Amino acid sequence: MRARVSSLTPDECKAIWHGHGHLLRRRCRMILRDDALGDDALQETFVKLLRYGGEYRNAASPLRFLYRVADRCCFELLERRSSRREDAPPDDWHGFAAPGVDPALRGAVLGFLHALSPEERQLAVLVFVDGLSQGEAAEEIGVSRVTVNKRVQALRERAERALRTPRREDG
Amino acid sequence: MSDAGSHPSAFRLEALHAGEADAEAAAHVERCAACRAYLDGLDAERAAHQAAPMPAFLEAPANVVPFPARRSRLVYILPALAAAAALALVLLRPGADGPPPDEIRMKGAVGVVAIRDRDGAQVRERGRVLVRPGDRLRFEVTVPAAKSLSVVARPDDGPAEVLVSGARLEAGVHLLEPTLRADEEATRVTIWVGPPALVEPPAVPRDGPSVTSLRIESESP
Repeated sequence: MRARVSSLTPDECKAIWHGHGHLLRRRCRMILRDDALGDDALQETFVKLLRYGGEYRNAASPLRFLYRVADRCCFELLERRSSRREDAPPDDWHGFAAPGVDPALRGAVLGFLHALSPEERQLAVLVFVDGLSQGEAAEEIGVSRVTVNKRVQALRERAERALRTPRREDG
Repeated sequence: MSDAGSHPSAFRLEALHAGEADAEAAAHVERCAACRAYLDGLDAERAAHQAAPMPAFLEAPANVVPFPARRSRLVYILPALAAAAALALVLLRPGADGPPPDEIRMKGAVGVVAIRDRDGAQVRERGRVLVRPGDRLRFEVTVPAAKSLSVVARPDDGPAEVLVSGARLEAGVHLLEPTLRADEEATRVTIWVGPPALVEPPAVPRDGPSVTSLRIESESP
């Protein structure tokens, strides 16, 4: 049997745009560190919601569901972009940060996000952007707490190295 | 973050801002000026966002061509587009196994249309398309009969770049995957579509029964 993929109606997507669009926009721009590219990802996010976003209706956390879709779109763009030789250095992202987030560490991690595996990318965003605890992140991506501990430690060390190095770390 | 101290995570604050119930986070915000300031910032962003018009891709989603969001610059990144185009062309197949261009019977003219996306509003242009910084373009090629075609971009002030070389297209309408984005620089590029021998360097392409072109120019010089 094939799972049936349900879509959202345009009106439902408009409601999401109205209530959550600003959060999705700032997230896409932050992850991609480029406003124009972030807006591209935002549009792609809504295209995906229109086609396949029916699960949103039953999501335990609607925002988490939307962030998952947006993250996927951002990561797809990152993969395309990292292979392009003409790619310009990404713009600095000047958004304000939540009190529990270290903006410098977050910026350093986002700077090498494109060089990470898909699972590492998701973990990096959950921990260094969303500020989830390692236990929460482990639950979200479905791996053990021990695995998350190791990976987060490696990400943190890499970010700290990048912050100590004047040159941008590009993986 | 795991070492975030006593503050709720950024995600919990954002979910709270979005209306999701979280009594613990709400109680924290009541007594934490830093978290309240963060939520105030989000409130201001939301107000600005809600005051802006709904984007066209949500107003009329059925009419919108999905843009794959490839960020490209028309003039300066044309060399890189060649590789991107070769990988990402929709409905194109390598032409190595197909007949050479001179064996194809031409049954009609090839057509090319630009789809210009400006802030989510799309228009289709034939012949000449004017762009502003930030505009995105996709191209639709109409082929009346199966043939091998190339797509070549010729900037007025730079070397020609082959975006697609000798790809075999079946009869029909083909939406090309590469998206071009106009940047701040003045843009003057001609896109040529036709048999490889007639449009790829060193040939100097001309419009004809089997060759068609599209001119891209900046709105302001």
